[in-house]
Amino acid sequence: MSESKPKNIVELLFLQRAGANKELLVKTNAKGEITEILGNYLLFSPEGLKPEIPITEAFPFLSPFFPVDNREIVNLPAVNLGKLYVSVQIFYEENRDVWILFSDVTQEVNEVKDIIQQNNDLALKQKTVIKHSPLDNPFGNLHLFGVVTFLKTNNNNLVCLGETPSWLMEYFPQLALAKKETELFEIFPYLEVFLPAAGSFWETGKEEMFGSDMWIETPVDNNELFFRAFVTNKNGNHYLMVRLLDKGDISVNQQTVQKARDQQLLYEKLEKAEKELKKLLNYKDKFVSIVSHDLRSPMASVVSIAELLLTDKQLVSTMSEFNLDMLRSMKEELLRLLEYNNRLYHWANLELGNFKLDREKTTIRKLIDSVSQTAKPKIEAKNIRFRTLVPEDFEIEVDVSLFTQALNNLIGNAIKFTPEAGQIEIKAKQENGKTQVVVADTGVGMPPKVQQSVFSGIPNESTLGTSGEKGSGLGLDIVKKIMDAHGFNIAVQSEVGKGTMFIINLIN
Amino acid sequence: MIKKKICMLGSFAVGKTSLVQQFVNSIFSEKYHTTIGVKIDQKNVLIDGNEVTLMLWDIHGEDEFQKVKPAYIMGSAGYFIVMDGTRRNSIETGLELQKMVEKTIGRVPFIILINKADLQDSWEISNEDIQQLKSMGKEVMLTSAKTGDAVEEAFIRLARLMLK
Repeated sequence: MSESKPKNIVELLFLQRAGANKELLVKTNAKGEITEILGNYLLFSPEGLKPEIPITEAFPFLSPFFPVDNREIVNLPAVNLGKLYVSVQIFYEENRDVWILFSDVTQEVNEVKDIIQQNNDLALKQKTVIKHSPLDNPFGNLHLFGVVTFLKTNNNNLVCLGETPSWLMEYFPQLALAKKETELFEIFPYLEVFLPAAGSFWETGKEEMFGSDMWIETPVDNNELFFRAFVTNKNGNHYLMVRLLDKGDISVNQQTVQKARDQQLLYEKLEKAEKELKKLLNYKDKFVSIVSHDLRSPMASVVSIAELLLTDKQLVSTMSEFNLDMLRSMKEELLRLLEYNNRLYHWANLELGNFKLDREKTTIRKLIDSVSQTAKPKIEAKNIRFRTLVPEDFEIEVDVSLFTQALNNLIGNAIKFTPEAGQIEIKAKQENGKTQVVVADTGVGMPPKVQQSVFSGIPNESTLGTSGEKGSGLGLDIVKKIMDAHGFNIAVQSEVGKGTMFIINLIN
Repeated sequence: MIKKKICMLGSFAVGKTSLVQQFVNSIFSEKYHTTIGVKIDQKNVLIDGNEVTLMLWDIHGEDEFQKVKPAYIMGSAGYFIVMDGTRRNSIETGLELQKMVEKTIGRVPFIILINKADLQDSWEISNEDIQQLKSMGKEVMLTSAKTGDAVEEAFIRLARLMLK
């Protein structure tokens, strides 16, 4: 006699099986007296099992089976032993010795307890007995997991096996009676597309699962139920299973696809809105371009008239000093308006891409000298120290007209925001084939927020210069557009009260 | 009774489920609820004195997440290719699906439904697009699952074509 000590290879294998610690194998004689104990007996009988005592002493529920008068295998699926649920199988040997296998099935029972409860509640509610097929389901109690199982017979009939799930009794009671595939199709037309594929699978004889896609049934109140079908083979027989999918699982799948599609729809909407917006912006730019173009001539005419009046000595001699000042102011303001309008026109055309980049080789020095010459009166008026540290031989390939305009705007901007007796410096350097041009001033500088928005593509509100100079607010935006058109980049570094530095990296 | 299988095919969110719901249950929901898998509804109609049961296979929308399997089409007596008037890219998906159906089951009657006619102001599909589809020999109908416009007519028209 032994306790958990294997005597032979069979017993050794029994004890080494996965899950053996949740099992107990007891051998008794025909009277029920224990002769051998294998496995975790303390789990099933905490007081301990002793050889030679009757098994019925430790497990009184086994009394009906001793002394032995029956040689059929007995299967007790879920016996409650306090906190434990135990499955018990009794086998009889030729010599009337008895083997009793105890397996701890507590976890499995707990998992299906709620489902059993629901099934029982439904049966009580409907006052019907859940159909029980005369044929057992070889896959066990699959009905507890929402599965109905059919056996496909040799003459292509279908037989519903074992107990049926609650959904079947509630929504499709006729399903249990289906004998032919065609009857099944009446209930679940989807199976019409699955069963041909299932037939091919059955022919392979493989004992694995082959599943269908999901389909939806709405038996009542448009309440969607999701199903999947599976087929398999076992011991040469063909089986079909239909499973009601768990709603929790489905909604996760559905939510994922739904979310992805919602996002796709949103993306398409945004794309459409962006297209519409671009169209409107284009319209706006065209409008600005046309209006500013058409305003140029009449404005220039009015400026000419003002100039004409101011050069008419006879007229000027008759005017009071006050009226003369008014006329001069009118001409100055008109000139400013004309300049502003020109910038607007340039800006709109740059925005629309209404220009052709005509690159030619030149030196930076030449361009800067030309711009400095133009700016000279303003530089002198504010007594600014203007330095250019640009070698004469630095060549670049740019659209001279546009690049000059950009430099004009940058230097004009530096003059505007540099106080009297300040300093403006223009430097250029070439390193590893790259040319860098820097326009630095000792002006008022920009706060970080302005620095961030200065090249954002949105024109800034015009700010008065240190001597009250007015501007259009478009100058730096035009510079950015010209640099972009050339494929150059421009950055700004600034500190309030110390000055600003624009750095252009020219990539030739 | 005659039984005929009709498949609803098209890109996602074009309104296949809504068209079936409008036809079968006369209901419409504004909320987009994506179809996962296949949903089969049926409706009995009287066509020229013949009672016909239409088995309506509402097949999930085609996109990179879900592809329509040719097996779903087997046994169809006719089908709808549904496009969304507000989404021009639904034409391409629809035409690809139509090719797949023809390759799978050969030539059976079908109608292209350009849905969401109630939103015609924001349509991306133009009259030229519709004319082009017609010039390819395809029958085109404009429907609105929301208002029900031309929905019943479309199903009856297809049923009639299938019975010819």
